Amino acid sequence: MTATALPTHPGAEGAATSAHREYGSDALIVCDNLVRIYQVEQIEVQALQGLDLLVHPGEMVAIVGASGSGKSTLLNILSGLDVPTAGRARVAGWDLLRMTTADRLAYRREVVGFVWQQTARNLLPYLTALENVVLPMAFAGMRARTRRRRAAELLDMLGMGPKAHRRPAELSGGEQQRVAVAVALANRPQVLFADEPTGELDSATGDEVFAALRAANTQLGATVVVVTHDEGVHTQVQRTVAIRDGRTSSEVVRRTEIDEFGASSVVAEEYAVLDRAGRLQLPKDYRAALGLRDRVRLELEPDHVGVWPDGAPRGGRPGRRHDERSER
Amino acid sequence: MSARPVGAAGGAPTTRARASRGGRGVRLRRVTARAGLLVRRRARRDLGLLAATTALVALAALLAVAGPRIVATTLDDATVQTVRGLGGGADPVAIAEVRAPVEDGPDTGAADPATFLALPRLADEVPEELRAVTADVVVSLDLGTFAVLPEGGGDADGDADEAAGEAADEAAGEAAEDAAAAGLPDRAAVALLAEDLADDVEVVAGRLPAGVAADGAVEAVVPEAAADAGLEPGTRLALAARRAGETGRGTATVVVVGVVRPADAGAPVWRDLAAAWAPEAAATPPLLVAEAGAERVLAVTEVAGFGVVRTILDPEAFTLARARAVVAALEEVRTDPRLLTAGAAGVRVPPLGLGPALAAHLEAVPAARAQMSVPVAGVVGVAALVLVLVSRLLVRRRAGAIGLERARGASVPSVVLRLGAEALVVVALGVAAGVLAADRLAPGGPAWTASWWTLAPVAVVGLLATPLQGAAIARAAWTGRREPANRRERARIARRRDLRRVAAEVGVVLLAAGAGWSLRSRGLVGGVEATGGGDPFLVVAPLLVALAATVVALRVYPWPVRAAAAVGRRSRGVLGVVGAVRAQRALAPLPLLELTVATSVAATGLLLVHTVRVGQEAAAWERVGAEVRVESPEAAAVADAVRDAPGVTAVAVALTANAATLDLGAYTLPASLLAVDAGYADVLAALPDPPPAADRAALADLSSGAAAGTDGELDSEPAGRPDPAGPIPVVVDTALAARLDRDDLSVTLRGTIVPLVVVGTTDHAPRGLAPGPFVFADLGTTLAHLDDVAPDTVWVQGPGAEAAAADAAAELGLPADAVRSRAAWAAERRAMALVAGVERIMLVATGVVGLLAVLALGATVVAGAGERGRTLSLLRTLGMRARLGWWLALAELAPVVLAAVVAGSVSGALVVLALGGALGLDVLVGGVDVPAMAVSPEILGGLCAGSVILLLVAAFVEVAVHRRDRLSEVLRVGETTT
Repeated sequence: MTATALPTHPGAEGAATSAHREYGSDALIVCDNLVRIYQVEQIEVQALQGLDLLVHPGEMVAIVGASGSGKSTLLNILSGLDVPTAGRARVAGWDLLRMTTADRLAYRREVVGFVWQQTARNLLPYLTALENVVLPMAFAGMRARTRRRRAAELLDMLGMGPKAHRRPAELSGGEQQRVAVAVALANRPQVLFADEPTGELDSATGDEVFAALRAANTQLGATVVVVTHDEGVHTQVQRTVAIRDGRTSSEVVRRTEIDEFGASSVVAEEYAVLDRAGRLQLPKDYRAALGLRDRVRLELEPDHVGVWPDGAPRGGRPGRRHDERSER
Repeated sequence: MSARPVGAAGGAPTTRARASRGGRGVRLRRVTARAGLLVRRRARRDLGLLAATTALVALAALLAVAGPRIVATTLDDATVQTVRGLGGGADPVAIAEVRAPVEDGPDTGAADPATFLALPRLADEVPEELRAVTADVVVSLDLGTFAVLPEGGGDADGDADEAAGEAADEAAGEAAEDAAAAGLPDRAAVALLAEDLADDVEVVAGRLPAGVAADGAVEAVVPEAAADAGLEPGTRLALAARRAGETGRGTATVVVVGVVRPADAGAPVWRDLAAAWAPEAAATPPLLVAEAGAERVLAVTEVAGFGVVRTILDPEAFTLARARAVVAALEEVRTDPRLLTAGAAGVRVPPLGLGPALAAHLEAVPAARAQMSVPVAGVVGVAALVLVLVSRLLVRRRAGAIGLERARGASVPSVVLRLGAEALVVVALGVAAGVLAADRLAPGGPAWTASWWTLAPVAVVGLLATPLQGAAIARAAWTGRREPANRRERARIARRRDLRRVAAEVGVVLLAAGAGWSLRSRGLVGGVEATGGGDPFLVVAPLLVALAATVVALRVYPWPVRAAAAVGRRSRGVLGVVGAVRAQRALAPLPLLELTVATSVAATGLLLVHTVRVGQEAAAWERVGAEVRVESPEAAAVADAVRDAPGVTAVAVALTANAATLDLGAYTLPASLLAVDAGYADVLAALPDPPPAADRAALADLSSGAAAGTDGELDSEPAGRPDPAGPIPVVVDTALAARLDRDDLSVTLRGTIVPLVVVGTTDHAPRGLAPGPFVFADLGTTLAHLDDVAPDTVWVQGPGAEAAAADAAAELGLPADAVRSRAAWAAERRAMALVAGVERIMLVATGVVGLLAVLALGATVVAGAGERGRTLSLLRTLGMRARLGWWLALAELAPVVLAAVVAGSVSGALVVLALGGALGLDVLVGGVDVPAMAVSPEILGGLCAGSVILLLVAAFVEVAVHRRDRLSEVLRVGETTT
C-alpha cells in the first residue's frame, strides 16, 4: 500500500468539494451504508454492516473477499435477488429497496444480466446456445426476427457463432460460460453481474471468459461487476474492491502510465476505504506489524495523517492530539 | 428495452424507477414466449417422470370413474336381486273374467266376451316405464272346462239354441258316457295358445293350430300328457258346456291337429298355463287353440272364462333408475288402473307386489350409496394427494430451471402457462387412458361423464398441482420481500405468521368437528342428483376429519420425536445422533397428510366392515331368537325330537301371535303375544347378550305358577296355580306397561277373547321377532283357553341345535323354510347384493389406498434420496458403513409413518364413531337398531403391521437406490448421481 486516501470513487477528486450533491449521484451503482441481517430461528447474522460502494458507468469492477465476507450477499442485493435490511441501494436509478414485484421483473429484464459460477446454472440444458440467448429477449417481448439477429451477433462477438446450435452438454465449461455471458447481455443490460464466473474453470479457460466480460465492457459499454475469489483478478479489471466483515475494506485501482520514454506500464495502487462516517479499516498485517490495537494515536500533518500505536514515543515534530485539533 | 427508468446514471437522483409495460402484443409475447419450444424440450428431458405422472392421473381417473360406476352397478345388482326375489308374483297383470250372463241379474263386473277376446290387444298398452323392464307380455285365456262328447254327440258348431233344457243336459251326460267308451276323457279344458308363444313349444306330432278348420271344427293341440288320454292328431270331439242346459248354448267341435310340449315348462311365459304341462293334466287334458279358435269356442259355449295379461318382468333389465321410474308408474297404475287396462270394462288390476317391494328397496338405497361413496371419495382423495406428491417431484427437479427462467426475465404467469400447458396434455392423456381402462375393468353402469363429481377433482388437481407448485418456486426464487432491521419487528412478524397458522389449524379442526356434529345431528339425507345421488357433505366429511388429524399430528409430532431424539443422542455410536437429527427434520406436511388420509380411509373401511359384521351377528340372534327357530304347527313334536339331541342345551316352545288385538278397556291396541313354556328363560339365558336375570325370572315364574310381579306398580296378588277358567297371568314389556292404567285386560286370540291379568313387567322385548309391544304368557295356560290351537314356534339353543332341528324337520316332513338358523340368516344377509357390494367396495378401497400409500411413500423416498445420498456419503467419509444407509431412511420415514398411522387410525375411528349413525348401517346389518360402532384393536394392529412392512420395503428400496453411489462424485457434485 503506497498511500492512504479517501476517494469516494477513483477519479472523482472534486467530489469532496461538491458536498451539496447526493452521495453517488453520478454513479451507476450506489450502495450507501448497506445493511443486511439474516435471522435463522434465534441466530442473527449481519452479512453487510454498513457497506458503501460506488460504481460508475462503464467500469469493470471486481469484488473480492474471503468466504463469508458478504460479497455474495452484496451481489444478490444488486441483482435484485435479495433485499437489504437497511441503507440505500440504487442501480441505474432503480431503488432496490422499494421495487415492486413488477419492477423487479422489469429490472431483471432490462437493467441487469447475470453469470453464475456453476455453468449448469446459467443455461437451460435442453436448449441450444442460440435458443438460450434468444430466451431472455423472448421473455422481454422482443420480436422473433430481432432476437434471432441479436443472439447471432452476440454469439459471434464472443466467438461462439460456430457452435450456436449446440446444447450446453456439447460445449466445454469455458464455452458454456461464454454463452452465459451472451445470455446475460441479450437484453442490453446496463450492468452485468458475474458471480465467480471462472470458479469451475482452469486459468486458460478463465482468461477466455474474462475476455468475454471485457468485450461486454468495452464493446457493448456494459458496466461489469465480478465477484471472485481469484487473487489474480486485479490484472483483469480496472478496480478491485475488497470486502471484509460486511464492509468495503480496500480498493486496488489499476491505471496505465506512460513514462518519459514513451513506455507504458500498469500501475496498481491499493487504497483503504474511508466511509461516509470517516471510518477507516487498516489491513490486518499493518496492525500486526505495528502492534496497533484498541486505540491508536493520530497526528494530522499538512499532507497526511499519522497513525501510531498507543504509548509509542512521539515523533520529532510537535504533535497535536487529534481530538484537540478537531475541537478547535 | 422498452423504457428507461427516470433518474438513471448521471440524471437527477430518484427513489424509484418504473417498470416498462409495453403494448398488448408485447405483454402477450412476454407471457407466451417460446412456450412451445420450452414445454416440448423439457417434456422430452423429463419423459420418465411425466409418464409416471400420466400413469398416476390415469390410475386416479380410473378410480374416479370406476368407483361411482361400481357403486351404481352394485345398486343396480341389488335392484335386480330384489326383483328376482319377488319371483312371478311381482309381475304386473291385468285380469278379465267373462261369466255366463244372468238375465236381470246384478252387474258382476265381468268383462263381456268381446273385451275378453280383445285382451291380447292390451299387450300394447303396457306403460313405457314398465316396457323397459319387461321381458314379454303374455296373454292367457282360460276358456273353462267342458264335457267331452264324441263328434256328433251334440249339435255342433254353435247350433246351440236347438239343444236346450234338460234334453240337452241329458244328452251331454249320455255323450260323456259315449266318449268314455271311445277312450276319450270325459272332460277337457280349453285355453288359448297365443300366437307369440309358438316359439316356446316344440311340436311332437302334427302341427300348431291355425284357427278354425274348413269344416268349422276348431283346431287344437294337446300336451304330450294328453296323448295318453287318447287325444292324438285327427281326434275329433265335441265340447259341451257343463251348464249348457242353463245357458241354452250348444257344443263346439274340436279337432286335434298336433301334440306339443313346452320348450321350457318352467319358463315365465307358462306361469298362467303351468297346469297344462303337469302330468295331472291328463285327467282334464287342455286343448290349446289359436285366437280364432278361442273366439269360436267362446261364441258357441259362452261360459265362464278367465283371462290374464301378464307383464313378465325381466329382473336383469332393472336398474336403480328404472326401478324409480317403475315405482312411479306403478303408483300411477294403482291410482288409475286404466293405464294398464286401456279402460276396458271388466278388466281389473289386482294389488301389485312389485311397487311396495321396490319402494322398500329404494328406501335403503341412500344409506347404501352413502356407505359406498365414503370409501370411493377417500380413494379419490388419496389418489389426488399422491398426484400432488408426484408433481412435487417434477417441480423440484425443475426448480433450477424455473429459477433460471425467472432470472432471465420470465414472469410468474409465463412459468405457470408453460407448466399448465404441459399439465393439460398430461391430464388429457391420463384421463382418457383412465376412462378407457375403466370401461374395460368396470364395464356397465353409467357413462363416465356421470362420474364428473369424482373425476373433476382429479382433473383439477392434475391440472393445477404442477403449475401452482411451480408458481410457488418461481415466486420464492425472486421474492423481493424485505425483512425489517428491527429485531422486535421481525419477532412481531414471526408471531403474526404463527398466529395465522394457528388460526388456520383451528379453523380446519373446527370445520371437521362442525361437519361431524352436523352429520351426526341431521343423519342421512336423500341424495343429490348432481353427485349421482350421493351426499356430498357426507362424502367430504371423512376427508376433513383426516385433514384435522394431520394438523394435530403436525403440532404434536415434535414432542415425542424430541423425546426419542434425546434418548437417541445418549446412545453409543453415530446412528442414534444422526437418526435423532434426521427424524426431527423429516416432517413434511404433504407426505404426512397423504399417509394420514390413506390410513384413515383404510381404518374407516375396515372398522365399518367390522362393525357391520359384528352387527349382523347380533342381528341374527335378534331375528332368529336362538341358534335355531322352527316354525311349524308341529312345534311340540319338534321340541320333543330335539330336546334330548346331542349339543342341544335349551329348548323353548311357544305360541306366537304377532298381531293380537289387546283390549285395554277404553281402546284396543295391536300387540305381540308370546305364550312360552318354561324353557324360554333357558333359551334367553343362552343368548350371547341375555336379558337381565330379573326379567328372565319373571318369565320363568309365569310357567312355574309363581307368577308374581317383578315390578311394584302393576303387581297383582300372586296368582299361584292359575285358574284355567280365570284370566291368564301375563308379563308385559315396559313400553306397554307405561300405557296401561289397569291390570285386567283381554286379548283376541284366534277368534277367542281371552282375559288377561298383568302380573309383572319386563325390559325384555324381542323386537327382532315381532313388532311388539309384547305380552308374555304361559304356554300351557294359554292353550287351555283356546280350542284346537297348537304351539307354532320352537327355539333351540346349543352347538348341536342346527343339526338336531334339521333332523327333526326331516323326520317330521316339514318344509325347508320352517327351520331358520342364526348362522344361515347371517350368511344370507351377507350374501345380499347390497350388503356384499358395500363390503366389497370397502375392502377394495382399503387395498387401493394401501397401494397408493406405497406410491406416496415411494415418492417421498425418491424426493429425499438425493439429499440422503449426500449425507450418507459425508458420513461414510467419517467412517460410517455404506450398508447402514437404510438407517437414515428409516430414521426419516419411520416417525412420519408412525405419526400417520396414529393420526389416521384415530381419524378413522372418529369417522366411524361420529358418522356411523349418519351412514345408515342398520340397512346393512338388518337388525332392529343401528349397530353400535365396534372399534377393533386387531384392525388397528393390522394397520400398524402393514405400515411397518411398507416402511421396511421403503428402506430396502432406499438402500438399493444408493448402492451404486460413487462417494467421490456425490461429494463433488453435491447430490446423488442416481
